[in-house]
Amino acid sequence: MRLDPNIGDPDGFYEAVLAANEGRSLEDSLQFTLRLCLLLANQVGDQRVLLDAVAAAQASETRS
Amino acid sequence: MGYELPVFPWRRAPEQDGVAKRHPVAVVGGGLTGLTAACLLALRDVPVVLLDEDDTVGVRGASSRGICYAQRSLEIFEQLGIYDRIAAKGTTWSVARVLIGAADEVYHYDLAKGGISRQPPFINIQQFYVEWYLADRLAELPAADVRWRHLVTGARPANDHVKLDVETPEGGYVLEADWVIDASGLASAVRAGLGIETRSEQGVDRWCISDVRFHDPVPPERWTWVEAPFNEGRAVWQHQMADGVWRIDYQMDPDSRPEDVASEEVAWARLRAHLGADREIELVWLGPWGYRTHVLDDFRAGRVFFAGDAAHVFSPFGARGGNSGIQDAENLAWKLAAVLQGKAPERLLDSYSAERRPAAAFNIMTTERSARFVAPRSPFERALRQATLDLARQHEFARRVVNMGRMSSPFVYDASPLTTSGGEALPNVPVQRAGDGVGTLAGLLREAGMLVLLGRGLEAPDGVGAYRVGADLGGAEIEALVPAGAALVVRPDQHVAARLERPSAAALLAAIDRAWGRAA
Repeated sequence: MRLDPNIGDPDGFYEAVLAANEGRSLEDSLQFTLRLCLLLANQVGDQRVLLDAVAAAQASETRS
Repeated sequence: MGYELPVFPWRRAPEQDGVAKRHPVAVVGGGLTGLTAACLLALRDVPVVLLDEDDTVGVRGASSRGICYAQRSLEIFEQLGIYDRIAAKGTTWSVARVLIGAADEVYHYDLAKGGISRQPPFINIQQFYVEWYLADRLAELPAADVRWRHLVTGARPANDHVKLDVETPEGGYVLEADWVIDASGLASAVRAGLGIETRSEQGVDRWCISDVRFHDPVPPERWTWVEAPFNEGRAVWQHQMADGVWRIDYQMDPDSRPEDVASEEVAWARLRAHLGADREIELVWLGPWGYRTHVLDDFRAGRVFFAGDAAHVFSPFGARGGNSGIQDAENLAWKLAAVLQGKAPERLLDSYSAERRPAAAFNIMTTERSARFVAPRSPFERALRQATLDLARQHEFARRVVNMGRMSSPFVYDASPLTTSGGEALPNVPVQRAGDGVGTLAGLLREAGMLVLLGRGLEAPDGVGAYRVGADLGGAEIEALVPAGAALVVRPDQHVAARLERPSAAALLAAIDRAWGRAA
């Protein structure tokens, strides 16, 4: 799994995600984010990488 | 609270005693932008008159404004001969830490890594010191005529010049100039006089600055808290300037009233919560502020050029305000000097707005993105930021998404009419010419105007004076800057006008002509 910087324009991507969620409810944004997650998963394809990503997302939960 | 500023003498203008004079260039406003422009012109022996409403530096007494001076600005200060004074007075820094909670580091970075310029990435110093040193330098230059307490109240275009209405303690007069650089700020009387309207938009985010002096040593690093528990879960900036004074900037509740958050009592309570009840500190300056954004459609109106805040204002993320004003001044100064001294056609001046307006638009976009990261507008935006920070603790890729300000770097003029290819600014590196000693790029450009840098294995074509990057840099560093077989045409402002692969003399000369605005 790639963890080095690989997003071409991080600020532009962040801005596009914010713009796509403008005016949405939190529940609505959750649905949007899941659709986005599935679309990106399909780009990745490789099952090993996808499972690594699931594990990494679990491992970096908010500290409280 | 604790600063002593210089007082510059007011003098009558020759115009007030009936001596008519046509000035080649008048600069309106003695802030960072105006002073830099005047200095750069006077250094090139262009007679320049600078008019400022005040008789000292800084705005409203000692209020500190800009504090971070970026490498490109420092390189310009080196050219002006005031860099050493700034470096001696200010705080050189390169490490930045992003924190969450009271002192829980998400990550840190070092801007100095891999840097090859003679100047560091950043020096922090109160803006009025920089203005002070610029004013002192200007007073040494015979081509400069500096007029303190000469307030410009209006501007009128004439056929082949501009008339400025000037008020002084001993009455008014009209000053005539062939060209005017308006660097008089957001509330410009020149712009108003020309009937150019601009609408400034106010942001909703509110901040309160507390400049304090610590009595114990603190490392000179930039610390930014995304959500500080000692500031009700809002952002905080902490950054050292000159004289051991720290700029601490607290993000406020957007609905708070400025007079409440900036009362000394409230400020002290905030400082105590942040720094501890017993910490020995001194409050040097206190002030609430908010964002404004404006940009002119065109940075030129006939014989008047707009620079700095007169042309554009945005939020301070990444220190892009003062630094971009200084770059405006530099961009305009070499072009005006070249036109006035007959080295380039008047058409060259069209490229000022063509280059600096896109730079301002880029700065507005960049600062708005940072402002939105710092002040999420919805629960979703807050959640996305939280997810980013959670990943950033471990993963480098997510650190690039955290946006507590993208630090000012020179704009790339890749779409400019002067650019054949390239457009980026080169760092101020050692440079040498066959048979000559080693100089610096900034130093040589001041004399040569425009120069060609050759990569390894390339000889200068006939009729082209060319330089190489000094051998005291490592081979890999030189190769990254000027690859083997490449030739770069470098403009007086260190930007690359052309990046060519084994060019013929004709191709090189054509690129040089284009960079001087000579191409049809």
